[in-house]
Amino acid sequence: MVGLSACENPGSVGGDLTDPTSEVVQDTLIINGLTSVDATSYSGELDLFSAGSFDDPLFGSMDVTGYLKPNLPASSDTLKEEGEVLLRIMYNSEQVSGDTAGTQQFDLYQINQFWRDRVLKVDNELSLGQKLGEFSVGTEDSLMINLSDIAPQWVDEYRMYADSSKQDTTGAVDSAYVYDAHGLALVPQNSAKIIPLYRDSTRFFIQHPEADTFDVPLNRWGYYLDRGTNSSIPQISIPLHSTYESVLNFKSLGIEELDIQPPGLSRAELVLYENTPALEQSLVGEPSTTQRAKEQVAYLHLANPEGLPENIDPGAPLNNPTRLQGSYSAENGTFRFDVTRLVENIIRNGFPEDREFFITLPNDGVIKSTLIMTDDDQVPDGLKPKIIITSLKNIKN
Amino acid sequence: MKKLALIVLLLVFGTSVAFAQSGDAKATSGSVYSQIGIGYPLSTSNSAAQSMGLLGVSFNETFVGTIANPAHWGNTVYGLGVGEIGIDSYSASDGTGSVTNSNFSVGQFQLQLPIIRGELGVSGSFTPVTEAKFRTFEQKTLTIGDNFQGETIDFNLENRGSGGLNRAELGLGWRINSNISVGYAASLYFLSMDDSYVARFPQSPYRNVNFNIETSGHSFGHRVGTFIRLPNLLREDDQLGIGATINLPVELNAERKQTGIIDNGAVTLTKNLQNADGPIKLPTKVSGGVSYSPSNMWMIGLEGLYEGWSGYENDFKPSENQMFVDRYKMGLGVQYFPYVTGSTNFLSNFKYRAGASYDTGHLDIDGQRINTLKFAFGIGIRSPRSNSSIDLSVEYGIRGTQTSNLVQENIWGVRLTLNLAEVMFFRPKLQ
Repeated sequence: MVGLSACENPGSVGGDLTDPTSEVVQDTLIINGLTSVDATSYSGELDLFSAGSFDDPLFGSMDVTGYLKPNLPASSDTLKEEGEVLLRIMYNSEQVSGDTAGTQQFDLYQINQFWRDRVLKVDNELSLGQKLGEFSVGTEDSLMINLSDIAPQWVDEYRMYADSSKQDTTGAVDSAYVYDAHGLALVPQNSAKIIPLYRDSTRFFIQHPEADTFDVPLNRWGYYLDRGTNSSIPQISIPLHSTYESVLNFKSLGIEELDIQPPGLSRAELVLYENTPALEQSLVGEPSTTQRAKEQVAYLHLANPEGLPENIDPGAPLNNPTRLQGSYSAENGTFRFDVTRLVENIIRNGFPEDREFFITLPNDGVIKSTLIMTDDDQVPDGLKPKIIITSLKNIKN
Repeated sequence: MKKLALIVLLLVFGTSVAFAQSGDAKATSGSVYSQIGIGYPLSTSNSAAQSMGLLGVSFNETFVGTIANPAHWGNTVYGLGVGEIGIDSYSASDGTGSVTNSNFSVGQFQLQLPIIRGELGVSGSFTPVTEAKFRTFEQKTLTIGDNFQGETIDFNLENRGSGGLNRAELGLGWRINSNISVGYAASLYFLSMDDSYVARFPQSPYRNVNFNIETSGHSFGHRVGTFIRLPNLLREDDQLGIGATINLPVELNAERKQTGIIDNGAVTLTKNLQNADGPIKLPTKVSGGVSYSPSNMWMIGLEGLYEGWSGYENDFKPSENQMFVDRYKMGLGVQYFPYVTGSTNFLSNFKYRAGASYDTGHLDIDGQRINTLKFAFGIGIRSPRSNSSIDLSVEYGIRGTQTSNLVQENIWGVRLTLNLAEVMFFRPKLQ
């Protein structure tokens, strides 16, 4: 019999006449072999750059030197003889690591070598010249530093490049500024906090009593991190740094064990558990105003391990790796990734050759760290990294 | 011949349209019991017989085609064509709720032609044998997540079935003498069933998911029948008809696969199942009956059938095999043709039929047989210019029980059969 039918008021009548054939089920797979990989990444040309110092009881001491170099003034602006040069620092006060109420003291040094921020890595230390001056950052989230007062020699040199550039039509001065002028370094002198400076709001201002004030954006920016060896990472955890000094690595989701077809895959979620107790307890002896910069997202990469860190670079990663964003739940201290599409692709097309999974915190110039529970035997199953798959299955086959 | 071709074309077109429409997601609801096995067995009798709750093996009409008994084809005098459509309504209820399904369908169609007029005839037909059209729908909840972030999600699980077993048949009937006819038909059975499952999650980010079990198979079948006509038995112009048919058992070579669609239906993926091939054994069917016509105005019939469903085997659903039991069906009906008196009364222009049947069914679930009691009534509308007619039947039945959490269905059905005959159709001029 063939034909048309219509159904009013569909209900469950007759649904249990026979044994069920289909069922929505949840499969939970522990991610095995979670390890740490050093893929120390770049620190320049990011949205922010850090400076300061914090002796983290868990992740070790961190001395961070900030590097910056201004552009030359625009052709319409003139840096006059009486003009003052000021450096405005603006930073994200919510992403400070250390004692937010503390005062971080900096020495201002002249950088003494050519550098390109695009290739500056977190562990690249630049050669510094003479100390030009010093300043400190308290609880305010922005401040003006009068460079004409504390570093007049550097200002004079900068003025020379600015004046010469206006008169030069060959481009020789601009080229000399690129290769011979290297900018400033913000070197921490005490260990209070690390501040993440906005690269677009941190600017140089030129003030003149008889002319309009104008500002000059940064030409290069970046930082150097010197992390001490005095960390105390619990055995059941792996540190995860936004600097890629430690990124998480595993080779398989383990979904080969499951009989799942793509049309039956409703959701696949990768869950990583933060070692929240260790993170919190490590700050118990610190001032109550001490904190760590906290990240709200993380990335899961499926990339070639031979090309780190470029393959997992947040800017323009090589070799078209897969990257998924996961979100952090402060309520239960987990990073959760919706990997439904990824799992579907793996089921349909197989696991790509020469690829492994990496998990990173976003490298945006803010130094952030957290601790992730491993699949160590001492870790309760509930806290081990896992993938949770919800699917519709044919339970009769 | 042009008219014949036109009719065939219309029948084929109508069937094709119906096939296409049956693929619609909303076009698959009938009896909830059709989800068991390879569907619910259908009546293969024409509307005239169904109007009397009968099978049609023990009587036939000169101007109405039939596939009930191959022996009837030996009595073919004129070219006959039969096409059938119907609509059924199933109001199903159990202890928890009720649901109403409506099902429009195109049924059997047949061409029956004389080779030697009144002695040897041939029939070709297409007949649905079982029907699987059902929809079950359940609201469910499931707690999903880990120790720290669990969530209870609501979803609904829908199971739709469509298709069934069909038969294409070609056969001969031979009237040995004025009292005895025999017939034989060879047939190709082909099974095509889709059993689809969809889970829908109203909450994001869960995706709706699905899979579909496609079962197909085919085999050859054989059917023989005999019809004994005894006129002038008790009085002049009366007639006793005795008919019987046997359908030999059929073993389908069946296969199945699991498919699923993704990307909004753009991609269909197939999964090979572990138990992908296997036989489906269909039982022997024996039907028989007697009819008595005291005159050409009245007829009363008593017919029954037996199907040995206890021998049914389906490798794909072995857990269901135990539900199948032998089936018995009995029907008693009467027909009244007042027009043979020549009356000009309007109501005398029609054929009237009525009857009832009791079917033990082929299922026994939790100790409860899924039987069906039906009452039927029908009228035949004769063409004023030819011997063609339209038979209209209305039936009401009760199937199943609510005992043991089973389902009881109240069934209303309206069926219409177009019987084409004689000049409107094909009449062999050489005879």
